[in-house]
Amino acid sequence: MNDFREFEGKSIDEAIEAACDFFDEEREKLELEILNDSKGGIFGLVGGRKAMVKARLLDTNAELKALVADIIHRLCRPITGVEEMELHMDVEPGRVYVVIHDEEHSGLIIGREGQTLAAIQYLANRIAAKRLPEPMRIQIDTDDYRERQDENLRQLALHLAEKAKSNGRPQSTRPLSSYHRRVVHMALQEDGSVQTRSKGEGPMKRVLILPKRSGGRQNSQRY
Amino acid sequence: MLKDLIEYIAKSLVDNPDDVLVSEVEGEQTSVLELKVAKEDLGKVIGKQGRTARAMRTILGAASTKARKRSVLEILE
Repeated sequence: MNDFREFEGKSIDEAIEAACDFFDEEREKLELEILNDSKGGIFGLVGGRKAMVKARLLDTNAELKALVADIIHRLCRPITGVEEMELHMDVEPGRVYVVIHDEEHSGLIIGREGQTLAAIQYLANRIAAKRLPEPMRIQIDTDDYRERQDENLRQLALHLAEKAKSNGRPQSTRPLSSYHRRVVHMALQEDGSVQTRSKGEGPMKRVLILPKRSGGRQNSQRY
Repeated sequence: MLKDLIEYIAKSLVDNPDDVLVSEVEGEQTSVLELKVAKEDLGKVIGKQGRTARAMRTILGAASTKARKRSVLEILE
């Protein structure tokens, strides 16, 4: 997406201006390389050569990525003994997704029931919040651990919903983090026959899955 | 190594990084890391419902495998 493109003009300045127009950005936001200067031909008409530059957008996220990588390396180094693990980062507005690629140490980084990974993510967020001018959420995954976890949780949500429907009683998950509660809520959002609600305080919050009573039954219970 | 880790985290979270002091009290199997911060920063290293302190202890626990030594974190008032 961010490949170099070539621009030409009668002078280098004009070529750069063309690049700025194309990207709709200031000159400072572009990475520029001059390919060749213009050469005047006879009366600037014959035999002249236009100036050529190539340009692309500067990676404005480079600084952010470097900061996040530094935080993660520092937090993980004492755990793995690896100087710098391979990280893959995706930046979206207000959010950075980091995937750690390190098969050998992923078990250590994840920890029991994902505790270590959650602690690393939490501290990385707190540290980044202190350093960055605007709020930025960092989400860390190792290979596809979190995606697998979320899928398990969705399966559990569907299973509990079935149970709630068949015996008519509310079902509850184990205490879950806000992120995981959201996964449960989202998984059952489409299901019109159950309702979900968070219950509890602080780290003990769980999701309740309530069977929706049909209109008829509700009426019959009214006095 | 573990001392540096706690020092890095604490200094990154507080408003007065110069007042962060981590001292290691070595024991035979377990060493105790004592963390001292400025009074007004105490909440920052403990966190809501002790969440930050817990996260630091979790990472410390994970790192102790590599360090072949158990470390406990104590936050001093």
